[in-house]
Amino acid sequence: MVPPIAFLILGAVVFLLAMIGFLTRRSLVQALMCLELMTSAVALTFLALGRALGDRSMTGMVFATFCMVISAAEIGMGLALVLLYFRKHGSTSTDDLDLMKG
Amino acid sequence: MYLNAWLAWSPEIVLTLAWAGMLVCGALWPRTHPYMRHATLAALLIALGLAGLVAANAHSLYGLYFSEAAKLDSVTTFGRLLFGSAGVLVVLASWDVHGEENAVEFFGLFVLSLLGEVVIVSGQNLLMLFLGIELLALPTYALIAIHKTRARAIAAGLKYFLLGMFASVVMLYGMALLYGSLGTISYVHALFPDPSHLSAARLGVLQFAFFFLILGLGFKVTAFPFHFWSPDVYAGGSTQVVAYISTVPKVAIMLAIFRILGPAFSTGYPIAKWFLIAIAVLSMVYGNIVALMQDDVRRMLAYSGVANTGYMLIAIIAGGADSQAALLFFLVVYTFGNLGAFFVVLGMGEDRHITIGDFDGLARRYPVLALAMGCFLFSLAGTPPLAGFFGKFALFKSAVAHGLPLLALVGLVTTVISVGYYLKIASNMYGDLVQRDLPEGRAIERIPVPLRIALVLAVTATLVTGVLGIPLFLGAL
Repeated sequence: MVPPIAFLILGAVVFLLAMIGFLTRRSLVQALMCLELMTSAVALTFLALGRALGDRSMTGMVFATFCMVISAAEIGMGLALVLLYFRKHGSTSTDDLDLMKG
Repeated sequence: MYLNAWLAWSPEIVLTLAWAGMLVCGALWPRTHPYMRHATLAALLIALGLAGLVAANAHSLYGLYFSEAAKLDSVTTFGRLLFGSAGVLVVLASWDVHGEENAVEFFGLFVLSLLGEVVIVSGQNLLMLFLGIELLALPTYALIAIHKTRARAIAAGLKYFLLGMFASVVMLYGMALLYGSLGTISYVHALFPDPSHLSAARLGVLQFAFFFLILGLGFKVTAFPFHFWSPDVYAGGSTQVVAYISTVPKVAIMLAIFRILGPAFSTGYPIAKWFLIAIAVLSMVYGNIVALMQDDVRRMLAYSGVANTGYMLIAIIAGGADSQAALLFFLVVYTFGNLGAFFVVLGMGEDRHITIGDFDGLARRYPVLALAMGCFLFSLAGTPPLAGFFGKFALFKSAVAHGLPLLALVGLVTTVISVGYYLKIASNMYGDLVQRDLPEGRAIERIPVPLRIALVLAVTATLVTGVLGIPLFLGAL
């Protein structure tokens, strides 16, 4: 049986990669995909932690389920906004948004 | 027990039913669209009344509900009343703007996001906190982007969405680490145990998780290193929505932070405490100094919001019952002062940037509007006769009482700096009483009646909290 720590490390690595992807990619759609990947990595971490702790109240699983629900709502909202932005400005690049500028 | 739960959460049930009813009616009968605003206002007033009734029956209704997932106590009631009254003001301010166009979407999403705030404040575990934050935030992303005439609205909404979701997911990872190191997500009892009971490895993970958690929450309350989205979003979104997102969500999350971290610092987490102190000091210093250099009034108010977050964090770092009272008082003051200031900007014209120069000679042309703006600005600045002074006084006093005199000193010095930019507008309004026409195209259109009512209510709230603050001030002497 694979020990939970393996899943924890996998979750952390995927989370980190997706985070780097979000911060470096220039395309809005890719940024959305990275957000999804980050949420999935967190869900995996919750599941692994729930098993590692032997939690009988299934907190980890419940949290992971809600992670999926939220990420579905998030992608719906995100794609709608990207579509509107594309219609108005004709591009899907994050460069025009000045994400990190105050 | 079940009947009690229905009664205790009746304000939220009313709002949920109103939201569902608005969606169904809006989809089936387009003729009902102009009445969405009436429905929202009625639902909010009913919910406010019910919240008052629940508070009057505190002894039988207060307590933990839904398997200890939500708590009804005085803080929850405070949140309900404050969010409800701020909601009424925002609905009045949006009365004409979203009268028919996008009415269902605008008011429906607005009610949903108010519900999210109650979930945040009443929630007693990290899952409720996360769901509340998402329920609050997802509608606000759309509310920012929904505006049709402001050119940058969609870009501002998209920017807010991407950065907001990023912060949420990072916070979610922090919650996972907290769950892993503590084995529980409930904060009915103090979430952070006495550090001496924890192994070094768990303590390390816990500190790490704490940074992630604060990153996510700090983003939502625009604390210093995570504030960078706010000036663009505030300048890009529609003014009444910006007035809303700059006040109410911040209050809700501050209350949640107080619930989670309030007990933590009494058990001693020095690194976490220093981290928060650094954020508070940097927010106060940076927010106030950068606000001095702004020309666009919305951006100025955005940076003033960063500075005010710093003041609120003082109460959380100090901890204890007196800091809680000071925090609650300051939150009321900040909410009505900031809402009012944005409403004045809304009244001056929606489709362009309002700069500080636009306030030249406002007192001569529109004396009542100028008086209202002056009232909000002096309250935000913390000048003695108004509510803001008592709020800041109580905050700084609680910091001194808990052995943080330097923090109070930084607050005091930055308050003096902040008077600079608040007074710049006031002196523009009143300094130029000589006859001089406003430049062409800068005349203000007639301000709609509902917005006037909202302004009057905001001024009243600011003055009344000022009067209520006097005993707080005298009792402390």
